[in-house]
Amino acid sequence: MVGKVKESRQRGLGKILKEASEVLRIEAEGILNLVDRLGPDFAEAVQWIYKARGRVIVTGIGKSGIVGQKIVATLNSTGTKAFFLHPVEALHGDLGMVSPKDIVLALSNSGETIELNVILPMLKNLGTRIIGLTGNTHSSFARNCHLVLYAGVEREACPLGLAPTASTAAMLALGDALAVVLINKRKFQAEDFHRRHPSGALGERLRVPIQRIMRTGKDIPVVKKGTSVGQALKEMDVKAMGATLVMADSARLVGIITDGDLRRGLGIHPGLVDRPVETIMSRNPKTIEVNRSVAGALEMMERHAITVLPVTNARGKLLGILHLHDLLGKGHIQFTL
Amino acid sequence: MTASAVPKGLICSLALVSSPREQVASEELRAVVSRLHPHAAAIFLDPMFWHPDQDYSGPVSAALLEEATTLLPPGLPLWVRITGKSADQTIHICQQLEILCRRLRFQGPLAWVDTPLLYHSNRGLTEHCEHMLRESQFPLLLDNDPDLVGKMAGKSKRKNIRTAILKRLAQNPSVAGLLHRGDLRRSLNYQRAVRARPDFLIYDASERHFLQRPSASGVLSVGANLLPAEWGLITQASVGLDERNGADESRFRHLWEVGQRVRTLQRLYSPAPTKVIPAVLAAWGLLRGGQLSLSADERRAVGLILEQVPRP
Repeated sequence: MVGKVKESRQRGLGKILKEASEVLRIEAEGILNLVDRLGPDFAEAVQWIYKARGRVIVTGIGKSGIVGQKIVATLNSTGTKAFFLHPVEALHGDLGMVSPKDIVLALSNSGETIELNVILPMLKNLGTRIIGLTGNTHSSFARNCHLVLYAGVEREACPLGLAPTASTAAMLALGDALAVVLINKRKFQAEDFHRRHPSGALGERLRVPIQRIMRTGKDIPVVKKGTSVGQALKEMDVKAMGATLVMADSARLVGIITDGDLRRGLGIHPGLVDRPVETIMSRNPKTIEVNRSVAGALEMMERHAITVLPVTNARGKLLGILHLHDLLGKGHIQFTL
Repeated sequence: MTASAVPKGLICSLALVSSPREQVASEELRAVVSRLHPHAAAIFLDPMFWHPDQDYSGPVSAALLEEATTLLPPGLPLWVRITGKSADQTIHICQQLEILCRRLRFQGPLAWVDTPLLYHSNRGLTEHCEHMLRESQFPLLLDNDPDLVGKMAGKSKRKNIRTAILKRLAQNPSVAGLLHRGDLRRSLNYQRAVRARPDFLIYDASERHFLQRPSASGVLSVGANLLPAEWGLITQASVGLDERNGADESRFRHLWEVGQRVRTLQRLYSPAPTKVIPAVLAAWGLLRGGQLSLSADERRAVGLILEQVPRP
């Protein structure tokens, strides 16, 4: 009895693996089938995108739309500016985002998607050039494109036509082919990739304990209670954090002065530089415990709209200080392109 | 040669009760064709399938071909079986039917269908097809049927068209496609072999295989005689795969339900389609005869189908 159950389970497992391998084979063949269909039109599509003075606008609906969004992500991260335009949203006003300098990359496996066949002539009228990715080169969709790239497959992996499988894999692969050829054309370097992927390195950084990156000891900008604002300014200048902490004694944090506090104070208090720091300091500043991570520190900064965060132990003793730039890697990651 | 003779979609093998030697019953033919043609991409006349026990000298009679060409709506492709018992006979059949088409002034769309391994080996097959098609205005579809070849042509014979031979055959623009009944791996190999011919279509001639892993070219269906609309829907969903398939829950559910229905019926008639399907059509009054010599299992299958499918 036990043997029969085991046998039945093994047969079930075998059936599952057989079906899965068939799916993978079908999808692999679908992609390989496109190799022989690559031709001058593909090269022309690459040239159009490379030379475009505008952006690549990717559009599609359903599964093709999802593939399109992935293609947008790949294009953007590899140096080709792109965005996704949903055909239905386009009909409700988003067509205004399109300019004649843009290149449209439209996706439709069947070639008879009504929404796309409505907006393509409109896009043509705007003066954009349209590259179509389709499995049906004789469709209405294909006729509405200036350039057609074949992305069809000979067999789908899904029974009963329930969902596109091999055809979406093929379309995705063709989109990757466009993006990668463009990388080489633009001589895109690894540094450019990181510049466009701050969250790649940032993701790793977020898990780092703040203890590893906080400033400590003599690097912490700090003045004693009663110190003049003028002296505090010098401390801020030397430690280059845009802020200084105010301590009542060597361990007790009572306040913080930031550039903003100075700015506001100058408008209110005449002769501010000679006044004690308590005049303008923010009392009981927000702090973070040393065992938290960079992610936690970032979240606090965002929540309280602050860029400097003192770090303490569980008993409130000052151990260090964080600046937003320290959390983000201080010049290793930039957000400007 | 017209390219539209080999369309993508549902290819309906017309249920034929009358054998090639009998008189064609026009009303029967009209009744069956009228049910099929709104959903079919092409109609296939295949007496070799529907009369496997009968000895025949010509797969399609002149009367049947003449009747079919008048009944089919204009533009709907007609596929015609030309397989004979030998290479010479097959060529003769092709030539005779070609002459008949000229006499009828029928210019298509039409395609010939042949299972060459029944009478010819892989060796020299390319030259045989070239010779056969030299004088023909219509394209040829190859039928790869390893089970039939194994049954009729002996165990020693190779049952499948060799992939390398198919690659050479596909270089002939008059060879338009293949009806495939083998396993998935072979179909993928064939697909790879004909990549240089983007217009070469590989149809699933096995309904069961199509329902599991559909060819994007289409299916040759006998069950469409019973459920033409359902087969049409499933085929259209599989061949013209819409990017919204699966996303729309009601459409998804409808496709699934129709698919299950089609699968259930396919399992009922597939052990003996040439007996069960005509019997059901006869019970519906669409065909005469068709109820001769049914086994108990076949009668049971007919009964179950009649229970599940309302009379049209």
